[in-house]
Amino acid sequence: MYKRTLEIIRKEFIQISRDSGLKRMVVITPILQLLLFGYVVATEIRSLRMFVLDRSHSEESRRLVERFVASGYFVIVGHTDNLDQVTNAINRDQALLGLVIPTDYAENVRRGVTAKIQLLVDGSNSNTATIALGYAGGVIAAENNDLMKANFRQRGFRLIEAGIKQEERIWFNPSLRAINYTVPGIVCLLLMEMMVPLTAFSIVKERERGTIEQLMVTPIHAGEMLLGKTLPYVLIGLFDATLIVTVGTFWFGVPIVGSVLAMYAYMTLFLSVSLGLGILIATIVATQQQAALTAQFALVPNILLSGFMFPIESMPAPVQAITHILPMRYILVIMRGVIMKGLSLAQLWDQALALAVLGTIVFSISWYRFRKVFG
Amino acid sequence: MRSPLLAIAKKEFIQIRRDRATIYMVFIFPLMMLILYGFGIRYDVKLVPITVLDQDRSAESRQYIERFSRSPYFQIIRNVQSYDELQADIDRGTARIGIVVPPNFGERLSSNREATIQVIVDGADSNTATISLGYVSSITREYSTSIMMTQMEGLLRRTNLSLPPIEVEPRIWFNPDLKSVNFIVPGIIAVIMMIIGTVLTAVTIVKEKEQGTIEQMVSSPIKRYELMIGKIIPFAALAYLDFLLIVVASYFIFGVEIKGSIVVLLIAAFLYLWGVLGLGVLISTITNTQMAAMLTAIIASMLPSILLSGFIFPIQQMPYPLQVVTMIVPARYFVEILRDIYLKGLGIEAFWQEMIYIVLFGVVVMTAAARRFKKTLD
Repeated sequence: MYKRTLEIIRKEFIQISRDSGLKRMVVITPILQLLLFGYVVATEIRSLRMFVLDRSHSEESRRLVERFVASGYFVIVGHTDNLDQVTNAINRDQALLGLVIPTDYAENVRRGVTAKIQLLVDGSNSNTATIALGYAGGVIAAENNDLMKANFRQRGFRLIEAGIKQEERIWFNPSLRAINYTVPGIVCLLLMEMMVPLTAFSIVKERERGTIEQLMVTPIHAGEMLLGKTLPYVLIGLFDATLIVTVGTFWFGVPIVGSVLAMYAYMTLFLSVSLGLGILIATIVATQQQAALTAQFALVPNILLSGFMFPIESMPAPVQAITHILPMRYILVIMRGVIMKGLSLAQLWDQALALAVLGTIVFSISWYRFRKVFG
Repeated sequence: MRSPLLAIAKKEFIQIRRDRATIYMVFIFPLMMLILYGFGIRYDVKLVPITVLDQDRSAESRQYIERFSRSPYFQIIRNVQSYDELQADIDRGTARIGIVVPPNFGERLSSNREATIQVIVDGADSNTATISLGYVSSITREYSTSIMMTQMEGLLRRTNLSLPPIEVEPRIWFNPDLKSVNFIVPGIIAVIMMIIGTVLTAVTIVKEKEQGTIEQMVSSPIKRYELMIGKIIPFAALAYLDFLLIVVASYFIFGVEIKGSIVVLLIAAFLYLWGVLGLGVLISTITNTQMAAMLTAIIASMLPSILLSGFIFPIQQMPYPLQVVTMIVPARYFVEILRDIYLKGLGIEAFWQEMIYIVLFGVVVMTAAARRFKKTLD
């Protein structure tokens, strides 16, 4: 009985080993993906390019510009006296922001009248624009605070320095490194991205070529065949996950706080859900081409709506409701919990339970369909 | 006389037409991406869950916390009695931020002394953490200022100073409401055309290789380049249809308008198509199974067009070596052209260099693909 399963596994491995393109991708995919995500997604938005139109030419205006630079979020790419040049720079993507300081700026500041400045922002990338506006707001608030104090002092008044001091404690990732958060996410992404299409393909392939009939006339049971066909891909998945975690730890210096053993246990649980999905797809499509598209179809929501890139709580309520059926949502919380926070099962049981329930449902349906189609 | 090229194209069309499932997906997939992005994805951080531990329970502490519950950026999910409970919320991720108001908060403030609050942040998601920490600071600062103001009201009246000293008037160009769908549409066009054009083309050609049917065609009197072009024409049509579908759907569903010239847009997409298809053929020549072809196509085409095109992540923010890599990604130039047309309403004089690159990429990749295609068949 085990022998039959082992034979299928052996056959599958021989097929994989003959496919040099596939072997290459099994190694290249995780590493390339980690490097891309690590360097692209995990970079903070900094050094936003700003063009300055300073009509005031005063000590006050220079101080304001200096303040933008000192914040570390902005770099000045040019000074000009001509508004057209600012417009041009923004149009041609040379600058993201334009700071316009009017002629009467310094005078107003000295007299204690509200001085108005203009901030031109290229809004085509709404994300970067929002962040840039936020940073600029912080710079202006700090300058306002200083100016107010200076104005009062000049007029001989002492400010009451009461107020609230904010003491900040940042847990789990005190240096706020984005890569620490990205690596656990990529492990989950990759497990799903590789497992769903690969399992779907390995089963559909046999059907497309008609070799499934040959398998069906052998004494093998549907269960043994399913196990034999999917187990090699579980191993590939775990191999790729190990590859990412290793590169993440040694190249990017991402620490693993929790238990490595627990991490593998959760990954295996998630893998089986992905396999279930792959089998399900295999039972509803006829060709590998369809399998490829359907797999992408299933993957996209798991990438975009699971909290992998964007926090779920900021999404609109109906979309938040949809996220509950995404297995990726739960494994992300679990993997980040284990790797970054060192959480134990006692703290993660509800996520693990949700994943297990999802897995059971997906597997029952796909098993039922598999028996029907391949029984 | 009927051209063999057209005969191949016709055969390919018939095969696609019979494959209902693929057709549905080719058209549903772009719509799904558009709708997901249009409705679901918000880059702004909103409604950050916070847990509050108010050890003071004075009028001041309530006022301060009130400001959080009124802010659109936060939602107070729980008021707890102990530090342990707060810690548990942050551990389990139910709250991203914990705010601790110490017992002497109100007393110190009303006697004009500085009070300290503690903010505990789950730093795991550093991006969200940084942004929400910024929001917390501004609420604290505003509350501080309001206390200071009430205490100095008399003083202000005597000095005649107007507050604030500086006021910023932001002018947001091209996308004044900062709607993400406006900037996402060009990216989706580039990515979808890649998925259909490259992934599907590669998988289909390899399929004939895998099944051995390509041999039959090679032994027919058809020329190699005819075979290749005949095979890619249907996918060119599908990818172009998808492009049109996204343009039309984004207009009717989300009201995304084209500010620039539609003709130029149509031409740009047409030029981009050839590089995309060429890449698909090229991948089909270096792989032998559909499985390998799909993985290679995803890595070589889809990922770069999502991550390295400036679609979501601005290129100028990437580390320098990666910025260099983006220079060979055609989607980068295509996204730039699309944004110029869509959002900025600029003409060809703003992006002719990008246009040239796209044409160049198409020519180089197509030539390489044709050469290898011939070699692998012979």
